[in-house]
Amino acid sequence: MIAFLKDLLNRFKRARVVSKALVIFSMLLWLVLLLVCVIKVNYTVVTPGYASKASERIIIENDDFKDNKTGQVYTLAVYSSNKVSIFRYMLSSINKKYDVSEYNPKTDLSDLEEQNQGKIMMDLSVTKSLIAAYTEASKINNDIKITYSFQGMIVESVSHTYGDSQLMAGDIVTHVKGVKVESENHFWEIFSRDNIENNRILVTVKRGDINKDLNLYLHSSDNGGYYVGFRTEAYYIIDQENTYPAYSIKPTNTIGPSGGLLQTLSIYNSLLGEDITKGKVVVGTGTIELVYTDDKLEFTGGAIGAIRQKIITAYECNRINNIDVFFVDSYDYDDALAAYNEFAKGSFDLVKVEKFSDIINYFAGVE
Amino acid sequence: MSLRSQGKENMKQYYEIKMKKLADWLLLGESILLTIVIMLPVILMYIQLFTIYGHNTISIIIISVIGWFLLMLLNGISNALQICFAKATYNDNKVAQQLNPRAVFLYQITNIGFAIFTLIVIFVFLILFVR
Repeated sequence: MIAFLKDLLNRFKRARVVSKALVIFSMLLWLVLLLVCVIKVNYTVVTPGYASKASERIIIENDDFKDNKTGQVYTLAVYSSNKVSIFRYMLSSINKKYDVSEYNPKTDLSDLEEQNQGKIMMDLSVTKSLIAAYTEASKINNDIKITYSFQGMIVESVSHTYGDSQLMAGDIVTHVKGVKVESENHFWEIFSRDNIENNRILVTVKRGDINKDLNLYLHSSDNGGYYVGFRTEAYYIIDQENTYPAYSIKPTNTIGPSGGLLQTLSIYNSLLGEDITKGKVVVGTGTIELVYTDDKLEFTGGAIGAIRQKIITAYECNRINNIDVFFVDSYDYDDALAAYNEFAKGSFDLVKVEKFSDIINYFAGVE
Repeated sequence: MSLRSQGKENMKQYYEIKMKKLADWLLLGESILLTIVIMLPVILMYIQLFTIYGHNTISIIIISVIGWFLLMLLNGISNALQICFAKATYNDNKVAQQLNPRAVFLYQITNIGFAIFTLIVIFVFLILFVR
């Protein structure tokens, strides 16, 4: 190669000016194209993703339930990338199906932090789906039971701007100022101004097997209150020995909680003898939330991100799967409807879901 | 004789040149390396194109066809460079000096055997890795 390159250099030296200019221009073009592909800009690009069968994640293992139909229930995933290359940014900007937004490395979560947060949320979403589906199914089949317990509040991510770096994603807040956290509502009662002194509040967290006391610093907000500085939600553990039927959870690369509602439907269907979806191809999005109102437990659909991309994903999957219905949580319904009217009008039914029971009621009305 | 036929003939002649096995492998490795360097921006653009548009069935088919053409082009460049390197390395070898890199390039970018092989590879890749 060296002999060839030397020969090439000699020929370049002897070449006409026009040829030399052409070679230099080509090399500059090569460099510019390379830099366009390599240099990253502070933008986040969200693109449509794929649909995956909800039943592939959670399997009901018991023989009595093995013939039950899981239904054709699909969750939707989208792709999100922070700090994309100039080339990728340009390609995404010209496509109206993609969402491009500014990314601030100082305040926004890094890719790794988002991965961690998404994994915690996904695991919790599976737990909540199991609790919701088993609880609802136990109303029809008395043999079905689930035992679970509240463990504390899990930290999903810590804000770069207002968070205290003592906290880590995955920490479980078990006590606030020595008081054991009994429920999510109880946490927000005691994680309050009454227990904050000089912008500090004492919490006990479970980090792996170790309990740690952390005197967290909370930044003051403009309205006289405080920024929590971390994203958290109730953390539950299921007692598998006292749960019937047994189940297993398969590993997945997908992260985030947005498949919760549909995951719940798939498990619920697997637990019942009949296919409540009546053979329909079902997709959707929305988290599953355990909401206690006056000690009454309800399962509701929670807000998600990138609804526009999920409608587009469903529309593109529709070519292969012939989707019948798309369920969306009530918080995202308006945005979903706007995207539906823009990209997917008439392709499938768009149904607003406030509670999980709305999905059951929808199918009860389907012939 | 057409340029393509000359390229096919040149490839046969190249393989008949008695080179040390190591030298032959070295020329092959160097030609692949330089091809990757020359085509690096295009390869990176292609990968990013696949990442962005790879979710859509029709896009995947179009991008796969582009990828197929790109592989053929890479094959052509790499083989032409290999001939160039051989000519520069064995400048006292008469057969080597008669080889025409342009003819080899034309033959290799239209090499039916390689085209079928890469098509199968792309097909298998799509089945295994693309949802």
